[in-house]
Amino acid sequence: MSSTIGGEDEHHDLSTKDDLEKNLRAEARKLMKQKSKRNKLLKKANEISRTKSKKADHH
Amino acid sequence: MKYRVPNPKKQIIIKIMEIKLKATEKHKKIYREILTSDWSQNTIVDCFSLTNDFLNTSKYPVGYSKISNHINIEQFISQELFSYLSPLSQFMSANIFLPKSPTRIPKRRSKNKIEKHNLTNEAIYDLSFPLLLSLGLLDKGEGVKIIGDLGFLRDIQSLTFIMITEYLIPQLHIGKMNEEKNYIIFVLFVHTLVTWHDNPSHQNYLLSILFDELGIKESYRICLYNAFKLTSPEEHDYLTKAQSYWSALMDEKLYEEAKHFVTTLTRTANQEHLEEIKEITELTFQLAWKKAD
Repeated sequence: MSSTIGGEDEHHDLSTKDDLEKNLRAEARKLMKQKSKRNKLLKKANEISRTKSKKADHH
Repeated sequence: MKYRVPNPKKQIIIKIMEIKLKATEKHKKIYREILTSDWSQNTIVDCFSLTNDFLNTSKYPVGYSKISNHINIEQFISQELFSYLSPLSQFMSANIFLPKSPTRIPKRRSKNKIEKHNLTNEAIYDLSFPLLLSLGLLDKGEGVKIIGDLGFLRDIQSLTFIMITEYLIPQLHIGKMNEEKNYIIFVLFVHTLVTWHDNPSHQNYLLSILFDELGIKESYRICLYNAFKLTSPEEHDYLTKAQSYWSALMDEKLYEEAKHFVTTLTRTANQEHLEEIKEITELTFQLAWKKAD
């Protein structure tokens, strides 16, 4: 069950945009030496992905 | 609604206050905006505001702003809630190396400290919800039952959890507000155990954030690995969890483990992730060789 987050607002429809997380992960890889900034990006990517996951039961 | 609790000597009637929460489209839009925005110190206030609005959607508004008009939240947090959680705190500080929760929280006098103190109170209320509400109402012989969009509540709480570790705890540390800092760390720990018991992957992920904050590196890595192992390759967050664990290995210069991990990852991941995994593999060898030179 994927999330229906976003509705008709395409800009905020996160359900089909894995690019968001992909870009955040790519940026994080560039910041390997800057743990704090890098981890913040990964936390954001994780939260976005998690809400789309099969385990998510909302939206 | 009334429930009768069987009692051999006496019939006790417990009144249950049913709280139905509804996430509107506006709430969901704000949540997504916060999630995808550039996070900063102000994001924690945005999370509190969203939680407050959402909790006020019930027939009986239970957001922090409304409840603080009815019960002395300050007293409940520093006395009632603490007494309730104290035995657990003793156990955890001895077994999981959490800092000891304070026996009392000092009265803060400077404007800056009062502001941080109040943010901590709101964080405790939101992350322990509805515990504080139950404790407040149970004095009057009432119980609380929360229904409705509980998944949405958990998502805001998860985001709030991250904001607290990113922005509030460092501020409490700088201000030497150790009592508030240790208290909120304990509440974060209890939150992961209680709220996420049915989602061990995310439970471990949040615990990893907490252990990282506490500087317990081995537990940090173990929890990241658990979070990864408990996530199916089919899930959206699989590769992000993999990269988080790999990054932790690289931070500690555990290159052999990192090489082994990326090799395994190549075998288990989906086709769509292979390009990124190739990049991660190259980076592993590059950084390992650089270190060897």
